[in-house]
Amino acid sequence: MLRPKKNLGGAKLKGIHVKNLTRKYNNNRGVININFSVGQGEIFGLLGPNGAGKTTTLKLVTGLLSYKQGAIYVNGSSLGNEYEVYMRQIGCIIGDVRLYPYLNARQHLGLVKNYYPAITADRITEVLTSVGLAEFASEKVGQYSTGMKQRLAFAMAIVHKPQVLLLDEPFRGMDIEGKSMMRSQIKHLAEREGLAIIVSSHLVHDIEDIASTVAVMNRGQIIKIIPKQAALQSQGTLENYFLNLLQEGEASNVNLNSSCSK
Amino acid sequence: MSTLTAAVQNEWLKLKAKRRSKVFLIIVIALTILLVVLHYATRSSFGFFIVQPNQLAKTVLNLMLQLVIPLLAFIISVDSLASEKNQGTLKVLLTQPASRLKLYFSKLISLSVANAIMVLAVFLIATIGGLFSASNGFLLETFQALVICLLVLVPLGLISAWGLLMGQLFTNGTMAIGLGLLGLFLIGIGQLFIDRLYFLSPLTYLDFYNPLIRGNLTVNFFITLLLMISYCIMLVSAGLLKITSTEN
Repeated sequence: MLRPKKNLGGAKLKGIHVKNLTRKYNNNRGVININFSVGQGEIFGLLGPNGAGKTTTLKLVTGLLSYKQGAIYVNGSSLGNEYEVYMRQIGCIIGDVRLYPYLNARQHLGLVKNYYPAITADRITEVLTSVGLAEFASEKVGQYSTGMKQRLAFAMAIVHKPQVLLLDEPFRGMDIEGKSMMRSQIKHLAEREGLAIIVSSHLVHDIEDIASTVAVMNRGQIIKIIPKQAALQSQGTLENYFLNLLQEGEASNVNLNSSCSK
Repeated sequence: MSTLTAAVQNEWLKLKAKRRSKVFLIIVIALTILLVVLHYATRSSFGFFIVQPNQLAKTVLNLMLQLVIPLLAFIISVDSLASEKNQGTLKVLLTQPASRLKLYFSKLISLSVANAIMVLAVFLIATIGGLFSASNGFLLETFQALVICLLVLVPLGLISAWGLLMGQLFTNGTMAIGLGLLGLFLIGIGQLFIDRLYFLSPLTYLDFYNPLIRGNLTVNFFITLLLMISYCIMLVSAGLLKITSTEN
């Protein structure tokens, strides 16, 4: 995997730091010169229409995609220099949640536990209970609904108490109760445990409810980073702010997902 | 605990939990028992050749290693990576805190353990079966059969490395298995017609341990073993190259 090893000045910083990150696909789409920082205890909302580059950004941060230009640091470590140290600090849900249909929930968490011997059986039970899967822990995941798989993926992302949480469309397919549970857990992890969290979504309300800072992406670029409160003060709702920002830029080309306004 | 150990544990957990692995082990055990029963039912002849005294374990191993075990080892190996791609779980695998190199070796190690279990199951059942007609020299023959069990892990490792590579190249497991077997078949056929392809023979010459059965170790045996190890290293390198450049 191609990743630059030189230090672009993020080696001693806490949280997530992305500097001048560029990655283009063969069709010339991708992300272009992305810069942002997420401090400890901060929930950073990545908002943008479909195809804006949100998932690509998170895939680059989790090492699923390589890059030639730019740098990414998590608590000072980078993928190019300290791959395992870097990855140990991360918990993530990226894109469609796919799990092993022949394993049960407890075995899935066991996959994470093997890398982190400090995780106890009690911790696994605690996390399964917190995501509402304790009573289904012995069922094969192949029998789970989409929402249950999403809950389990969230449990796998947090069971090892990561420093950084990367959540790509984490509420996809979840019922109201599940969404509420996950939102309160995300807030708790940021406020009480000081995690640096990135949540991406094309649904404004998902971000409005939990994010402390919002980055609006379009066509592979971050067009604005603003504290959520400032966005709310300026336009009343995050949805208005988001729509106005996109319309100001390139109104004719923006393909807004209809679900944004629901 | 090192990350490689953790990765191997995870791969082993997945391999054990798959229904296919259990079915394959049952097939191996059932076929071995069938051969042992056939041995006694046909009075040591298997219908087509005579089993030498005390050599039941060697003979049954030889029969099982001709096709059944290599084929099952290849299918399990292809499935190990192709199913991750097919089911979309490759993302879960690649976001673990282990380097791609360790993830690849964890798969190869767990597959080699699975190969060893299949071979040892055949050895144990055939040895126990052979006890009923044991005579002088049984222990020596059994020891030689055990050496074959260890030696044959090299060509089986070669097959697993080939399977892992095919599993990476194709998302569709059936396609990977079909083309992988076709490749081996073409190499085998090619050697029949083109003498210069003799250097590829270790890829298909699974019963290279035959001199050991006959008790006359030859230079050819060692050359074949060395070539097998070299091919194994080449296939592992290709597999590593592929997995380290994999994007998801």
